[in-house]
Amino acid sequence: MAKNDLQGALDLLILKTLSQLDSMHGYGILMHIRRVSDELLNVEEGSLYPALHRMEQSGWVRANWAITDYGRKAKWYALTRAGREQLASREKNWAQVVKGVDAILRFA
Amino acid sequence: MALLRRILSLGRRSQTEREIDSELLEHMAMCVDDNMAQGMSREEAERDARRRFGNPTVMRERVSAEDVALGLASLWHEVRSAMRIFVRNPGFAFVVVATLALGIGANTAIFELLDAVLLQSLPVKKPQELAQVRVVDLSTARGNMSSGYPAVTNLIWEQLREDHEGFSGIAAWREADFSRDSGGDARFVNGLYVSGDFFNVLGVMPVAGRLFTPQDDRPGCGFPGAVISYGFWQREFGGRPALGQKLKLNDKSVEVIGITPQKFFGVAVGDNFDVAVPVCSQPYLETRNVLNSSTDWWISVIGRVAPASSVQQIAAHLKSASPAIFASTLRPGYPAESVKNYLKMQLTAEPSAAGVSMLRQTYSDPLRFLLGIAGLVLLITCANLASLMLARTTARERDMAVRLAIGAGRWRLIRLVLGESLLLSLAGALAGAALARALSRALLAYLDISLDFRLDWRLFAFLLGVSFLTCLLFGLGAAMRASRTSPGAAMKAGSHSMTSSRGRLGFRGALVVSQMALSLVLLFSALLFTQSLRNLLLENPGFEAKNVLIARLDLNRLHTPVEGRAIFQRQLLDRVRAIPGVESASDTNVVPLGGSGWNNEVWVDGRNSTQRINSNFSAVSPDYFRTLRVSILAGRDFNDHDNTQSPRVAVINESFARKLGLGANPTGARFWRQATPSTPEQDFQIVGLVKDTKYHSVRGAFEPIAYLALAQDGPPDTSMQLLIRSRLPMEGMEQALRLTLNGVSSEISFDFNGLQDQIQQSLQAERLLATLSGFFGVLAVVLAVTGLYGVMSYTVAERSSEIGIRMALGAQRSSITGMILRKAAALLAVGLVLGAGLSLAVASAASALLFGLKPRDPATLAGASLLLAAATVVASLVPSMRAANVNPVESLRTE
Repeated sequence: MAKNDLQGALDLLILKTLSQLDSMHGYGILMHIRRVSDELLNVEEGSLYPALHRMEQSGWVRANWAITDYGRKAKWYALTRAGREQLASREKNWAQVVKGVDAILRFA
Repeated sequence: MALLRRILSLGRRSQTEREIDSELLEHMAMCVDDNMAQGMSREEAERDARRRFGNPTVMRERVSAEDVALGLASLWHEVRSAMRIFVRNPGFAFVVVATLALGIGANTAIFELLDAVLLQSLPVKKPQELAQVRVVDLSTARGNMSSGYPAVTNLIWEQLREDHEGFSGIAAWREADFSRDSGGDARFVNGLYVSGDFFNVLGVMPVAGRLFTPQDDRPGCGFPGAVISYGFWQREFGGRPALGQKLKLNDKSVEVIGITPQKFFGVAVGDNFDVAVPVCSQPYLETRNVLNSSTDWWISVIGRVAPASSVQQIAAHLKSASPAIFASTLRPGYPAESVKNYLKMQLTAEPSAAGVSMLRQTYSDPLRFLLGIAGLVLLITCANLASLMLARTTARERDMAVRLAIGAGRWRLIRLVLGESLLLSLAGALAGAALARALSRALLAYLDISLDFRLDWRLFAFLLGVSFLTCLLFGLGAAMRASRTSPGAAMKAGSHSMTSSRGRLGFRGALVVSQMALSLVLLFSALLFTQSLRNLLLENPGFEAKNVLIARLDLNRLHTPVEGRAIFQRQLLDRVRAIPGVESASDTNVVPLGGSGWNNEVWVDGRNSTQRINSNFSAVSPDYFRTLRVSILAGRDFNDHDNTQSPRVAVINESFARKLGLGANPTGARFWRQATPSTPEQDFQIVGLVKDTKYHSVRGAFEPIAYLALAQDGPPDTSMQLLIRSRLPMEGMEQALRLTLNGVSSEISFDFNGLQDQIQQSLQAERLLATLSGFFGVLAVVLAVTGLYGVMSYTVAERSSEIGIRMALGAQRSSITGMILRKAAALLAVGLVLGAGLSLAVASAASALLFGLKPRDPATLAGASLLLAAATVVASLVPSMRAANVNPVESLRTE
């Protein structure tokens, strides 16, 4: 059975963002999620950084320090191969969760 | 691996943390940049960013909490900060470490002893492959059973050496004392007879020279050489080259051919050997050749199980081979009536990785019990420290609250306190280990046994386990309290509530109660063992041991011909009797309670010879009963007319007369003794009846004893065991004896021992139990009482404002004192009830170790409770007085 916890959503958002942007720093990930979701999803810093740190330790993302467009030094994150595999399985998983939740909502 | 890299970078904690910090800092900066780009002023932008970001410390804590390696590193950080605190506040740390060191040290010392006596394998190659061969039931065997270990005859050993199916190698050994003196005070070395293959089978390599081979151990070998132990080499030769040097053993000269490694002590734990010689040298070193006897059970057999075999298979094989082995080893000397039993005897094999040991029988139960007791003491220690830590944490509540308020996680606080206790318990364990070394050495010296302590994994595991357990036990309570601190409440300035919160004393109260209960158990067992020892010491063995000296004489070097010995020995005895101060003296072949014995079946003349009883024997010279002050109830003592020319006579004790139904005056009756390997069936006329005396041990009941006239009991040998009652102090008597014996001949060698001392030495295990449990009992009470004192003082301090109000409202000092004392009494009462229950449960485990009292002795329990109650009252008196001295004005003004 697929792992269908809704909490995995944050990991999925971050992984997907990184796959779309190639590499990005924490602030950028936050902004990207907010902008793309039309400010519907507002990820908190307090959840983002622990999650990034955890992913780095699990080897899903790798990080290095680089200069931003505005001349600030920031920690940039990028997906690794394990991260991409993780993303693929999480996307599939998510689709099932959505289908499941949808079915329940539509039950008359 | 990212994780691996992180763990490798452990210790660079600050760097990782700085990285997290700067990442978060940059995040804030970008947020501010964005805000300003949207038109906010710098101030507004910063405020908005901070509001959205929240508490930066909390944030950093949450991020680093994700980091496993960082978690480990921060524990180290905690330990380091704890260390700083302790350096600044050494008194607290010292008390805790010293208390722990005592508790852990005592436990480790006893465990060390237990480990060495019971658990450790022999220091040889692959000890788990070793197995010993023994007779299933030796009680039906006849003859001389002088070994303390499972033994067979040399003839049986030779059969086993020829056919040792299932063993890859098999060897035999036997302990023996060899004398090294040539007259005067006797000097002995611990000797070992070993078969040729002994060292090879055990896999022992020489550190110098060579060890024996089967070529050395051949019938009629004479005295081909001696292998000495490392310890003996150091002692005797100071470590100088010893190979080729001559040694004199039992007046025979022998060459040292090899030295065994330092660790090797033989096969019997607790008996370090000095010199090993081949089995074939026995006839050369001793007067009696036992190699071709089927009645001398003296040699022990150990073998190495072959890889393809198992102990069970070997046991099965031995069982089926037994009839043939026993049939072929029977010699004509064996008592005819017992031959049937001999042929039915069976051999078996059992694992022997840990070797054999006399110490095991004597000490295994007392040591296990003592370890239990020491464990309880450690528990009490932990309870005490838990109380102390808790008090300390409560005092630091403000500090904790500040940490919480600025963003420390609760887990972090738990870790902080646990880090402290971990540091303390490790320090305590280290100090305890050092203390244990000293303690276990002292124990060995006290018990007068030699054991080789080795640091092995069991000891390390034990130490580590104990220290972590103590850390958890005494630190966890405090840690949990710390984490439950409510920042708001604790921050309220000078928060002094009118009444103490019940829960807080509840936990400390529970600690005190458990301390009380455990100390009662310890006090109770200490009293039990002390009384038991006292009973044993006061137990009347039926004779008076005080002022009696045992003198063992070796007359071998005089080379007196057999026919001259009786006269010579009687004259020697007369000269001893003539020494001023000697009241009486006697010669005997069995010193009562000395460990040796001799028994045979007897029956009354004329009755059916199947109505037999087993009786102990002792051959004595005239004056034996006067020397030991054993009263003669009927008939007479032996005299010089009882000799080889006169009819055989015997003196019996009451048990003998009763068991054979001989009535109140058995003198004149005759009894028969079964045939022995050296004599046929013999009858004796009873000439006297004496009171019962103990024969084997103080603990046992009175047994039948038949005393025979030494002069009638076969040809005299070349040794004497004199019992001498004198009015002189022991040292003076020994000196006088030395002079007298030297005057007779300088070739006589002798050694002395007090009869009383010998009996006390036989109670060594009981003495150990009584002394140590007494020590632990006192320690426990002291700990429990300090614990109670601490809690009561704490209560008084905490309730001082309440007490102040009570006094302001008119409460009498006596009622305040009573209030505090009642609290202590309540704790004591609960502790006593719990402790009494526990004591009764524990007591049944001690029943086998007690003598002369029931394990659930109510008087002892009452005594222990009373002692504890008295100590409690003393301890709570001071705090209650202090409570009564609270000044209401002052205590209310501090609010």
